[in-house]
Amino acid sequence: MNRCCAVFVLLLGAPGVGLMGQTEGNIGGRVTDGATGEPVVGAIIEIDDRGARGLTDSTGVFLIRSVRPGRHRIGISAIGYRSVSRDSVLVESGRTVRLDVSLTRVAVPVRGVVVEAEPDPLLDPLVTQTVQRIRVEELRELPVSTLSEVVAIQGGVVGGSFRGGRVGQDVLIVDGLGLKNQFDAASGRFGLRIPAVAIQEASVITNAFSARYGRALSGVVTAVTKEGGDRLTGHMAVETDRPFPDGSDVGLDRLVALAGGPLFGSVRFLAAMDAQARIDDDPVNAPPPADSLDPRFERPWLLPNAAGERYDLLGKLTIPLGARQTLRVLGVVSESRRELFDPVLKYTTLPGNGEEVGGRLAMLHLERTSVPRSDHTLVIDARLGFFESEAARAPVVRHPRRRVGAFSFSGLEFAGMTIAKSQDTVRARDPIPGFTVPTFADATPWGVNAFFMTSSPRGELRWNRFREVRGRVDVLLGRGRVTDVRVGGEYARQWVDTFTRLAGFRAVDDGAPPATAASYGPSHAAGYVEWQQRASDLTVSAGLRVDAFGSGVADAGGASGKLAASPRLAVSTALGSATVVASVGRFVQPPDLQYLVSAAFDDTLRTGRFRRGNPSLGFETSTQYELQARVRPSADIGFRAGVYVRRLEGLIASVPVGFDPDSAVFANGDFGTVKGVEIALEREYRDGFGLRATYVLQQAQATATDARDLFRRLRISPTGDTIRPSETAFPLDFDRRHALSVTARARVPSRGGAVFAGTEAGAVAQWSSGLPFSLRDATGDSLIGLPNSQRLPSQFTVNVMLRRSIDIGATAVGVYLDVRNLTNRRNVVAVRRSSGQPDPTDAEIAGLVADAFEADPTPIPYESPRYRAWADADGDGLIAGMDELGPMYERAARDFTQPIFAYGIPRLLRFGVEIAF
Amino acid sequence: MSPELIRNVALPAGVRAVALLAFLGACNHTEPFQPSPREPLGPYERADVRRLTFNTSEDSDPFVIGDSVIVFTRIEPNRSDGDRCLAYLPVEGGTLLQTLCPHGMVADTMRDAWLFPAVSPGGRLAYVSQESRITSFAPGVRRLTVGTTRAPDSVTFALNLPVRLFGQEPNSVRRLAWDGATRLRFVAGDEGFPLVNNVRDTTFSALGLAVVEVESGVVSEEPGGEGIYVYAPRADSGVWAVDAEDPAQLFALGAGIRTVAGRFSGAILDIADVGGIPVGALALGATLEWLDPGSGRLMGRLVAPGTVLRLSAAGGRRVVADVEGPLGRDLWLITLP
Repeated sequence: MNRCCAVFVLLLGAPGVGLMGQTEGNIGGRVTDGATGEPVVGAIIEIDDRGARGLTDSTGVFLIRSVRPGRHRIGISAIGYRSVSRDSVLVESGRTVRLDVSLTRVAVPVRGVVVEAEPDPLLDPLVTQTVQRIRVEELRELPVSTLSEVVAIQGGVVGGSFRGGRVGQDVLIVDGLGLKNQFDAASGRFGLRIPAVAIQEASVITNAFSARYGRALSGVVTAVTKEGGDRLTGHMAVETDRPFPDGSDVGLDRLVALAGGPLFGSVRFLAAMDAQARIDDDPVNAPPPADSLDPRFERPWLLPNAAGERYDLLGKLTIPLGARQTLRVLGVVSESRRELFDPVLKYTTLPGNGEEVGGRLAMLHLERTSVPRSDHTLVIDARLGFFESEAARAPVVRHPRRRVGAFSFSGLEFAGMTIAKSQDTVRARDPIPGFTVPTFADATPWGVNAFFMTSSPRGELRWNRFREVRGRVDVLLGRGRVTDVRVGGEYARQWVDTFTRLAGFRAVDDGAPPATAASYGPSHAAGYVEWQQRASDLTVSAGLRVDAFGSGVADAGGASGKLAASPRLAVSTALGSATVVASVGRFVQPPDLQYLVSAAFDDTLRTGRFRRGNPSLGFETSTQYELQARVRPSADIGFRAGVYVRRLEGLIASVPVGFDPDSAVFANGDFGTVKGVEIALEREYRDGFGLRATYVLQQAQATATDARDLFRRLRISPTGDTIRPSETAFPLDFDRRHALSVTARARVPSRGGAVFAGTEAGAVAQWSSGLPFSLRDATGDSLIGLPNSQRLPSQFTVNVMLRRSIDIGATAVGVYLDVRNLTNRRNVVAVRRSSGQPDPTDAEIAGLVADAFEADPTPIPYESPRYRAWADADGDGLIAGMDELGPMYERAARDFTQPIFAYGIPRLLRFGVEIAF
Repeated sequence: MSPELIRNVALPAGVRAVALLAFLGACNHTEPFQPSPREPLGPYERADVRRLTFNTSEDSDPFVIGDSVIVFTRIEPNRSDGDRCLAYLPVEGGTLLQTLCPHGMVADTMRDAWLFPAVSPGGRLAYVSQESRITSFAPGVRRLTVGTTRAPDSVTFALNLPVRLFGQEPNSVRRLAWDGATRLRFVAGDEGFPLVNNVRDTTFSALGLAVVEVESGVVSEEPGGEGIYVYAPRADSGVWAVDAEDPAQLFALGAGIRTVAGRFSGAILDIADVGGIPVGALALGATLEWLDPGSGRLMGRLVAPGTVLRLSAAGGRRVVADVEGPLGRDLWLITLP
């Protein structure tokens, strides 16, 4: 049978499945009489011994929709035939597992036969989305520890940006419920982490994602959590980098644990924990300083006051309610805290600023399936979730005391957090208790009053909390094997509370900006209908989603609810040996809620500008056109290529108000275009080796988004008129032109006696061209050329995981070595906009020295703690004048401007021991 | 080690895993760099006439605590409000041990001053505190204050000025010195900042030596102390003193009785008891002179590096001098020959 015929037969025999859902899979196949080959009509298909879930039709074909990903036991029975079952049938989201069953008559003393076949996911024309999936095995074997790391190795994803969009244009779907920190998505601060050990399957979808999901312009990340099985199983791992030498030991300790199984009756549980602490939570590969007096000179690896911890807990109950209903209760708690190393505070013994971010999720999921009928299926899912994300940033009162390794097991003690959480702007007019008035540090090697302080001069106290109750109902109606219809809707009530105070060490009456606080309750509602129809080898998927949101800001003044419709259409068919998919879709997302708050945010984007919120902001939108072809040149090799064009409209930007150059208001002012080509080549994991390579060529251009607002689509004149300047295109911030990612897995065959027998290896290599940046002139006021017209150097990393496990009865014991940035390449991730290099120019240093000397030319006497004998050239006990003070200022300036965070991670090693049962 | 050998000595995998965990737990992490604390410098030089402070601002009114540390008033050179702070310095010289300023180390809109420090044997710190607006010339509030050396603003006693003494109401005090744990001597006087020919007269006009009991707050005149403008406590709880009527004449004052103890060659700005020897700083000639405590005869003379405004005995034959030179007032350690 040639390949074309195989596809055709697959289409005929395979069910017309509803593959638009991202978090469920399907099981389909044909049941025949083993003796005659005739179809068995009315055969009953059970999943996990939970009663009949599907029936065969007159042709012996069955289709069970909306099956949770994971391994299931499938039973097939029919009157007059011997029942058969198949254990550990792996179901993956968006795919159909095919089971062809031959039953034997009861009178015949031979069992039936089940043949499991997975339809080719590459050529399956029912798959209209670009899904990059990572399975539980890959999660274990690849050098990834978190879901965000999983996402980062997918093609078209750059540091939280999907297909050229900015950070925050994605949504996370956890067990079917969409989650997003709608307050602060643009900063990438989500708050909630699903422990990787509890993830059954994760995927990234960057096009044509289902109308079921909204609030995203560029991508959808799904995570399906595991469930407890029929017997008690568990897994525990301890990771550390303690045994490794300086430079590879960043103070990492990690503990991962998972347990699941029956609780009582048919109720099953799953509990997972992932706790990690690092003495340096943000390790960088910055070169050591050249100055031997710099304390980093001898020990350049770790940064002080940069410790971080995170704790992620997940608990899940699966409660069968009869044969047709299942209730799932999911709870996730995440806490992360970190000290924020600040070069300004390099020479103080006081703790600097810290940050705590917490996330909590509680979700109920009731699933109901219809009585099995061969001609139609009805599946209803109802979900109710509470999601909370809370973030705080403030000076830390005292260093957390480490108790075990890098773990302190305690929260950071912040100054002023009581005031912040109570949003007490009246008390906040006084200096905030615990804030220290910054003075120049005198314990520096350089002695001068410049650059280095005893406490943060920003005096920042920030707190915000985003809460959301979201309920949604999804109905799947399957008609025969050719039609799927999904309808559903969701409603969310949200609560936002914020507090910001700057210069908290000073009273408002002494010139500090007053505290700002806001509390408001936005809401979001959506409804959708989605239809998929197969006719011969043509599949058409069409959906319409309508989103609405209200800002809930009390003084909105005309901020009525916003409404947006998002039609989506995908057509796929088999052309020769290829499957071709064309799709067009419109996607919308409400703006980050922080941009709605009127006058609550000073310097939101840290560019020194005052930005006013705008409660009348509307949806940000994206329209995407994509054409994709998939072929399989050989049995093991799959190839996918696609081109796409995305139009981004109504993106949030800041627009100047009147003549004030430092004042702006948020508006739906940006737009951009992303064009790209994606190529993927995959060698299926088979015979101990698998490889996947993706290459993305992309161009993302905008006419705005520059933080300094030099170019934009709209300007508002002092008279209130709208001015449209001539259109100028320049790269978007995430315009990564080339990105190549190669993921490989291998396993050394198990041959008795070989040292490396059974060793598993996983590797991820990524090369990408540099992101754009803007070059400024020496004054810092003007750009050289267009915004984002310069490019950072390319980046390259190789991460490797080696694992060796030994089975001892039902227990597996293993050790593994996880290496990040194996080549220890010094990737430049940022440069100074003035020089285009990580380091400042000599002219910049000279400017800093001149400014600092002018600010404080005071001579330094011998008795001063600032006196440095090496600077007292004439030895008169007084360091005076530019001749003597200048070198001190220069060395201080070079220390202060070290480009520590301009570099990516160094080579990181971690060694782990794990036990699974 | 060969694989075969490994197999031969291998423990069960579970035991190995536990042993491995124990081994890992025993390792310590690498620690980040820490800014090394700045070690204080020793004396700048070892000469008998040794400069202790080098700044271009003012260091004044030294008081030696226990022959090892000097507390003195210091104007921080780069403070915009011109506050006068208290600083601590090893008596041999070197790096300042500590500087404490009114209302903290950050300049504000008030010109505050902590002046004329004196420390009791029990560690009580007496000083005069002044407050005024930066734009004002004369102090608005002035009081005699007792705190601690670590926290001068932890006030345990305060005497608001002016007080009634010597038939007048002196508004200023200077030259504080403890007589025991609770009795504080001082020179009371007037510092009225009157306008004389459009010039502020900042002259301190001493009225005499007075005493305050800091436990009871009772202020009294020292018997025989009227007219005294400089004095130095002696070991026998009496004082060497000089009367403004005859600024070269040295008295020994004890139990209210004045006894002529000698005569310096000129007017005296300050005196100190250095190992029982009265040492005087002459107003003219940048000279120190010391007299025989028994005969009152001139024992020696030493040329100072500038006009010596204040003296404080520093143990042995040493004295810390507040010297006014071309670059301001600095502290010097002078060892008498």
